[in-house]
Amino acid sequence: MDNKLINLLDPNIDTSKLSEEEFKNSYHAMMRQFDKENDEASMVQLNAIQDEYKRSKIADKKNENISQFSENLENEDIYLYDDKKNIIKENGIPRPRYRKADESIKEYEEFLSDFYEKIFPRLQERKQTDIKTGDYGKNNKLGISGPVLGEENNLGIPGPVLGEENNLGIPGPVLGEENNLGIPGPVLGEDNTQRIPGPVIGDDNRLGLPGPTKNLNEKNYRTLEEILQEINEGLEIKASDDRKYKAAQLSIARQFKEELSSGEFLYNISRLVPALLSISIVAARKLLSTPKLKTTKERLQTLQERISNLSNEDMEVVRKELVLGKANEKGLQGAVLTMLNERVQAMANEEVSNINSQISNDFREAFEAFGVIGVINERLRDENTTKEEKEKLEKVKQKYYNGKAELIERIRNNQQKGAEILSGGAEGFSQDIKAAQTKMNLVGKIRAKRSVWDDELGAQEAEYSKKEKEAIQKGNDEDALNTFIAWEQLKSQSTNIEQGFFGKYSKGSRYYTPLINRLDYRDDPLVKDVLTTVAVVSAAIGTYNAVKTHKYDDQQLLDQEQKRATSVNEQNEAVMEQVHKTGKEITRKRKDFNEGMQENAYSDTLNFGNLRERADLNDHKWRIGDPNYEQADALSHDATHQLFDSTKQQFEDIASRQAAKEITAQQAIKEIANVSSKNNQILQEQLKDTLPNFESYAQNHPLLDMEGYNRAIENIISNPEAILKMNEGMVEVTKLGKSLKGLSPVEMEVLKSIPSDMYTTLASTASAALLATKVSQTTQTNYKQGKYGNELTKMVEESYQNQAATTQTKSK
Amino acid sequence: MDYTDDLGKLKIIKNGVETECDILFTFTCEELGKNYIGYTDGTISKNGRKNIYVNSYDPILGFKQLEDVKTKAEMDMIQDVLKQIDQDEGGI
Repeated sequence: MDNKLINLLDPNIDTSKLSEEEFKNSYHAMMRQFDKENDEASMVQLNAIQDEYKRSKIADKKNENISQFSENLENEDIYLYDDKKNIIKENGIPRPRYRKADESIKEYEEFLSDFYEKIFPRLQERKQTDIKTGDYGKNNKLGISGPVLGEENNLGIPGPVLGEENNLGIPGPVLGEENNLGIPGPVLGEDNTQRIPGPVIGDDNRLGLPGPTKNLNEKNYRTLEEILQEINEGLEIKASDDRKYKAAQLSIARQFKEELSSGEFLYNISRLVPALLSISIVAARKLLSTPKLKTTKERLQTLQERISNLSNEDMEVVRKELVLGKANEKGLQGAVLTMLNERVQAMANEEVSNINSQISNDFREAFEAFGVIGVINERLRDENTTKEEKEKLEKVKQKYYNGKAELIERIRNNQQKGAEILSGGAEGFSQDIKAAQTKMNLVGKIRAKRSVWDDELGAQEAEYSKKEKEAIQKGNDEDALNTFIAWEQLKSQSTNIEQGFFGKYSKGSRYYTPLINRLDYRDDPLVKDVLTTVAVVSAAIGTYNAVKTHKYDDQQLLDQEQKRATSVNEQNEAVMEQVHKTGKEITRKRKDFNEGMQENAYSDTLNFGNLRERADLNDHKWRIGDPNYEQADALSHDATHQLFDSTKQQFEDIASRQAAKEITAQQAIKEIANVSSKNNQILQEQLKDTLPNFESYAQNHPLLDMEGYNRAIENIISNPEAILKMNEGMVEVTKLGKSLKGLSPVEMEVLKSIPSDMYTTLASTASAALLATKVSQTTQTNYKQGKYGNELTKMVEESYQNQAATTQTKSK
Repeated sequence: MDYTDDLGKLKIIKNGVETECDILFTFTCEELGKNYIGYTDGTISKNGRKNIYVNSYDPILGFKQLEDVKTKAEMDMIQDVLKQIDQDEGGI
């Protein structure tokens, strides 16, 4: 490598005489220096010099091209076009050369323009016409861009189609009178068997190529209302149809129906497992006039078929017009919305999947080329490489550079397109559907990462983005590729991707994601894991509340004590003394209760806040999102349910034994407290392992704000003693309570100050333990299975590491 | 939905006492392969509401064994059934 740096700002230096490598090295070194010194004026001046240098290089090429013609004039045949576009031979008249392999279309056109102006003034007029129409004659078989070159042309450079004989289907303007398509594109006529993608050309197009989307007002698009009527008609889809389990063959006692409809009676649905002595059920008589509806399953199946059979045009209409307002306005039921959303998401997923495949392939090509070029550069720098070898290597290097500007432009366009499909189109639709179904604005939960703007990084990115854009515009393959790689590496490294617990996710101020990702935080695999667990926990709390309501009642316990106290009616000083002492104990322990309840309140808030999420997601079986997750989710559901069932079983067993008077209430409470405390211990251990990873992930993930979750879990483990004390204290209190025989109702008031919702708090503790256990287990499993991060982040990371290693080796 | 003047009765032992209950409704859940029966002994709970009990039973085994409603989804389904009954315009 030539390490000699030149002061490009020195007016005495003629930069046009510098080699490209010399200029580039000096430019980069100076730019970095100015950047460090924050010398904007010098940076601007340096960029101006760079632009001038590039222009001089283009001018050099032009001169070279013209001199090449002068050499060839004597030896080659010259062609001229007559008015009927027939090629005739005429000696002594120069012709333009062919487009060079490393020359962009724009540069070649500039050359042609110069050529005609300088060498063929009398053809200027015709040149204007020829270049516009692109009509270069019938006989060229190759479809080369630029003027038709005749039958001998065997360069095979992509260009316009040239006539009937052309059967290569190379992109270019349509040519020839026989072509009834008349628009630029790869239409080639009847003989084309290549089927190259291009714009739709009209009714006569036999190629069936995709083309511009039609205006929704055109007559072959139906209205949203027509579509909704078609899919809903006759099905009577109800809210309950969306539930996992559906009731069928319902028989009802008429009096019950009358009572229910009157509104004068209210009901508790209670759980009871009685011993059955006898039963006599009367078969229900059917009403005659009510037409029998299909079963729910059949109706939903019909709905699904109708939605699957909607045309792509219909789905375009649905996608564009069924926004939140209309979904609510039409009163569409959850099942309809879900199935429509599934179809929209499936279409979007397919489009994005195709785009991501293209991006992946292009990335691979870019990085492979960069890798090869790196090796070639090493060989070029090697003193032992001969001149002939160097010439060959330069040619090979050039070949790897060819087309990279176009490739990188395609990557950027695809990234933009894919993001638009998800963030605006399908994602917007999905969010509206979610909001309509749950009556919650879930969009607010998706928040971009907020961080302090990094000036240095920002300036570097600005420079790279500008340079990449210019390179693409000028068709400068080398600059485009080098800048692209450098920028991708910068993004990768500035995000400090490490081999962390969560794989390749970012820990810095940028989030590196070359592939298109959904923005829905609920599709994030870690968030899904957390939410699944939290939601199961919420369900646990609900059930335990039910257990508490129907099997336990603190008020009952206290009432019993009160009755016992009043019936005995013993009041003496010793008892009073004990009451006061006990009262103080209870009051002291009340602080622990309060603290413990606060910690559990965090859990409760966390859990109940997600209950609705869970209801929504569970009912839709995680349909929104990566289908691969559903399998993992199903498995973790099973595991979670086992944990859940096991703990719930313990609680219910205790409750049943107490209800059957096998154990006293106090014994029951003690046993529940034991289960709770044991789970609390599990909680502490699990969270100690989980929290550091969870914390770093939560802080650095750019697409969501996990602060609430983080804080809740932090609070749980930052006050471990409070929960334990609460449990212990509660047991103590009831022990004390039992000993308070013969208390008057007045003294019993002290006991009533005990928080009554003991069981919910205990359940919360158990639930929080389940949460921690599950998150820890699931994230470990998923990490091992490589579910976090993607292949491209690994590729860029490896590329950087290889480069860094090479640099280190060189510097040794 | 099918309405009938009298769906029948069942006798259970509740809190050690033989109790006769009116059957209020029955239905089937195909997904779970269970039938459900809702009945009441006419008692009112402390919150002033009438108690309805719901159990499931195997349609093949019949009423030999009444089982507990175990999951939240089943409870939701039962709530739904009551809503459906309430909202249905027939039966009166």
